[in-house]
Amino acid sequence: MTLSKKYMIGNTTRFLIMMLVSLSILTACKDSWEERGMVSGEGLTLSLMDRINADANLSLFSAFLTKTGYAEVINSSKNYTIWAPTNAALQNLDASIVNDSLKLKSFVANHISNLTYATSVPADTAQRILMLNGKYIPFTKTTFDDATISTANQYAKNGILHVISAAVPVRLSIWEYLNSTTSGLNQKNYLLSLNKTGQDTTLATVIGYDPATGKPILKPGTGLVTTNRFLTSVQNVSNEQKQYTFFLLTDAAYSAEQAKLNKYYYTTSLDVDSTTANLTSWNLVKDLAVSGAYSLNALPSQLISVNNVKIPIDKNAIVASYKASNGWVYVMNSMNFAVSEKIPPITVEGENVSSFSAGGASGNIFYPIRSDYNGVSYKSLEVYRLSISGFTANYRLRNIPSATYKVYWRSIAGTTGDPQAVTFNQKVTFYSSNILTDLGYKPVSVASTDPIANALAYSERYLGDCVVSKYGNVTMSLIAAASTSVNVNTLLLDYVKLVPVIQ
Amino acid sequence: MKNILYNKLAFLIVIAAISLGGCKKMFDVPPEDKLDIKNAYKTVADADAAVIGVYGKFQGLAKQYLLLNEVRADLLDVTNNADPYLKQLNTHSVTVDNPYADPRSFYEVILNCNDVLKNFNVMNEKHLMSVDDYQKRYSDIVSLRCFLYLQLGIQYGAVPYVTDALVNVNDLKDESLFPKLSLDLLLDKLIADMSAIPYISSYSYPTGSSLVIATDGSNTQRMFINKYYMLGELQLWKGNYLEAARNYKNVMETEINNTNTNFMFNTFHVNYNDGTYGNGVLYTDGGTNYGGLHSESALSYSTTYGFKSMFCLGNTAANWNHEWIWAMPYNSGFNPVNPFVELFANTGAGKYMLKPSQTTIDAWASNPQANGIPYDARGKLSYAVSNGQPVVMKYIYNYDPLVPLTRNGMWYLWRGAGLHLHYAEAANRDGKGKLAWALLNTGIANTFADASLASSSNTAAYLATMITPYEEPYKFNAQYIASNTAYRGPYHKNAGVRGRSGVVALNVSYQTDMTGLEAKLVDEGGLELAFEGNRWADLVRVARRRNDPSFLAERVYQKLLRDGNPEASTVRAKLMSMDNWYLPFKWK
Repeated sequence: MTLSKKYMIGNTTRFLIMMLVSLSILTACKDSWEERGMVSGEGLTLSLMDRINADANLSLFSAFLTKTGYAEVINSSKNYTIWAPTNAALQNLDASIVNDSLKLKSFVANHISNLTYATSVPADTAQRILMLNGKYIPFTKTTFDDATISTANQYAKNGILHVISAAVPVRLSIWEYLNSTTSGLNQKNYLLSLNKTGQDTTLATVIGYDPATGKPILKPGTGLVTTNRFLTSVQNVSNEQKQYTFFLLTDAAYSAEQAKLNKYYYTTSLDVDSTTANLTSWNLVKDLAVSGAYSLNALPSQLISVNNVKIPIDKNAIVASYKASNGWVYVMNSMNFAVSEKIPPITVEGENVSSFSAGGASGNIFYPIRSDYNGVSYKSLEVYRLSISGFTANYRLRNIPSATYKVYWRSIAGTTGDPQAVTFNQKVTFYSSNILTDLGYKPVSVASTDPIANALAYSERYLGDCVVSKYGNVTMSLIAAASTSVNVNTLLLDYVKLVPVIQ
Repeated sequence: MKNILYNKLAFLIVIAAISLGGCKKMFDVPPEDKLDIKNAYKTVADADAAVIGVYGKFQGLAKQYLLLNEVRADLLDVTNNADPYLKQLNTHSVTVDNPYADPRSFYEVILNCNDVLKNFNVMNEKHLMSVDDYQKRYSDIVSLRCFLYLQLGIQYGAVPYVTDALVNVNDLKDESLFPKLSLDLLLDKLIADMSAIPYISSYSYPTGSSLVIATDGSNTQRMFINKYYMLGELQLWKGNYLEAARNYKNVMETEINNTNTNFMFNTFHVNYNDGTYGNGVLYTDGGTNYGGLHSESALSYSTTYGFKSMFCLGNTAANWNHEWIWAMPYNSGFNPVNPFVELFANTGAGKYMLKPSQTTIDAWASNPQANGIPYDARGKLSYAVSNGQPVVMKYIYNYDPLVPLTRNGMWYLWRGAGLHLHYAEAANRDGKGKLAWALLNTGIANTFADASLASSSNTAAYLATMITPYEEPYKFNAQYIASNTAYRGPYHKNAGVRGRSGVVALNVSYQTDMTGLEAKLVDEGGLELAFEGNRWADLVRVARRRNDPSFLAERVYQKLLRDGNPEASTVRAKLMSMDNWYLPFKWK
């Protein structure tokens, strides 16, 4: 037996050895590979509550958490972010909060959010984060509301802890503020008078079904929901998710603005009655809120309301301000609205006819679309070649303020494709409060190939004045010439404009 | 005894072996659902089956044809739903693996054509079908092959020209065996091919042929290529304007000898709406007593008469046949499936991958009608805003999202308005600007009739002005007087492409402005024939003729710019070089 032969090993054995070697290498690699994404450290083992308890400087907040029951909440299997104020920040906390369990609960919840938010994530501009009490708090890389973040991003196994140097008070929303305010009572009372309570069938308790109709019978007093016309049709300043700026007028300012509007809302008689007061109040408040939170420094001298009315803002007239959870409230002792904006001109489009004086004319009624001399498209009413004398188109105008109106029309015959190539007469009448105003037959202008004459043809034509003595509905009529001749008894109207005379 | 038994048994086995061996063919049963090559091409019915087979295969190119011709041009834009390959087409950045740019599918049909032609020749030599049958079928397939090659030339620039019956399309990849021909040389070959076909007429198969039948609600006559149109296209591309005009005119005269005047007056003549027949925009109110006064809302959305009906009617309807020269219907009962529903619709089975470009929408919006309505109503009838999205409607009027599997529709190829625009393009280049202007704008009679003679007692002199003062192929008889029905020229209803849809006529100064009018003809193609697969070819042809890449590049640039595509300027710079107009001729 030679030496070499002694160390010779079979192919099978060699293969097995190779396998063993490679297996051991692969096994050895396993751990470091699997650990590639792991984070090690205390954060893995400590819960948020453990973290807070470990910091002696957060003992007051820890006690609040235990007292309000949130200690248990944040130990649940969800993730949270906590902005914990230091003991120094909490030691002077108002006793009325500390001693009122509901207020304290809301206060603590004002520092906790679902999900994790690290300071590496938010941009420099604040993002508003939903807290457990339903309020949104602005959060930047360095601040939480007005408090500075002293120690950021302490990871725990179920969330992130930030330590902040000041407590963040629970703010009222604009609507909550309005409900609790003691200034601007006129405006407050009017706005609250718009509250309406109704039963929401989806929320109410069903106590049975009507055997006749099969409809559910609801238990009275359940599923009650309060709505408010101001919130639904101007700005929903009770909404926490968005931000608004709201203006509250002192009683003197409110009355002064109302007085400017009274004469446009006379109803049963020519004095201020409750209906007039309500209408002027609505006209006033509909322009007292805008979207967006404007701090005092950012407040411009003029804002535009949702109704397209300019809101004049005199910073000297601000007597108080409140930073709400969803924006700003400014109490103003003067706000000088322009009446011409509050009582704007009314445009009646020719094509929006309410009724015609006779049936059977549909083949002669057209709503042509044309391009004016500036290239802007407009629609008209055109009644052509109708064998009815004095044919009339009626327009029902709703909620017209009481005022004297200057009446204009725009009506152009002889445009491309229009068979009415010569001028003709038609008239406009108004009927309101049993009074008929007849502005008389006036000629309709004809389009021209000459640019200057054409621009003139497209301009508005003044027809006369119409007095609407009481607020309400007005019937406007467009009446054709008393003739049955083609090109004579045509009706043609782009629009009529009623411009109120502001005195 | 036992031995004898064994012997007998052995003998029997031998006999059995021999006889069974002789039965070998018993097990070689020919399949019943496949046609063996040696059994095909026996009779004229087999030849018909071959023709139908080639066209069936051809119809599979519809989607690719439309995408290459519209997405690369300026009328269609991709949506966010479009796949990356479609977006490549849109920004002219096609990679080699882009399936829409793969020329192989075209060559598969071409090789089928070649194979069928080879076998038709064999049949002809063996007298397996009549000479007349052979000539018609042979000429039809040659024309279709020319159409495919012209498409390849337009899209790829230089392509191999193959007329042999290869067995495998992949053999073509060998460039040393099949050298590429430039578009110009290719055109020469194709014109030679078309000039050599033994049978030429508008219809590939006249009424009465075994290939013209009504089946499944469709008639087959207009499914086959129009040979005059094809030759006209080739001559127009080549720049032989007189020849192009001559062939296009032949298409216009397809029914000129028909004794039924409805066919004779209306077929491919782009006529005004006469109350029964017509394919222009119309309004349902007003009328002559009202001087054409119309409400905007009275626009007709009729599916049987007027502009929209062209994309709604079946191919057996008279109005359809007055306009469509070549279109292939889809039937939900058979393959291939209509690919356009998926591309365009945004409901049901639609994936909404393509939408009208903003430049197209704006072009319609700023093109006023003679009745004073400030926009071109063909836009409203070509696309619609549905669920807030602009949707191309031309292909999906017959599609109901509630029945998503029923996708009837058509692959639209050639129609009367396109014919008149291409004819006008040729006539304009051949010095007949006034005639081109007439066909584009107000029609023959309105343009040429001398109104000063209208009230004269010499009716003949007046009528004489209603015939264009040119020789054929520029001679049109549009004679008409209300009082005497004897004077009715075949073109008396011609209203012009713009005129029949009520759009304001262009200034008459274009009659003497050749390049200006040519650009207007291309613009009109965008308004009238939008999304029908003509656009890229029209842009390339005119830009190539003028040697002016900006003619094409600027239009594509404007589309991308208006639709907010960040690559707009890059694409413009790229398209300023003609070489970049063409797709890479490669397949995997």
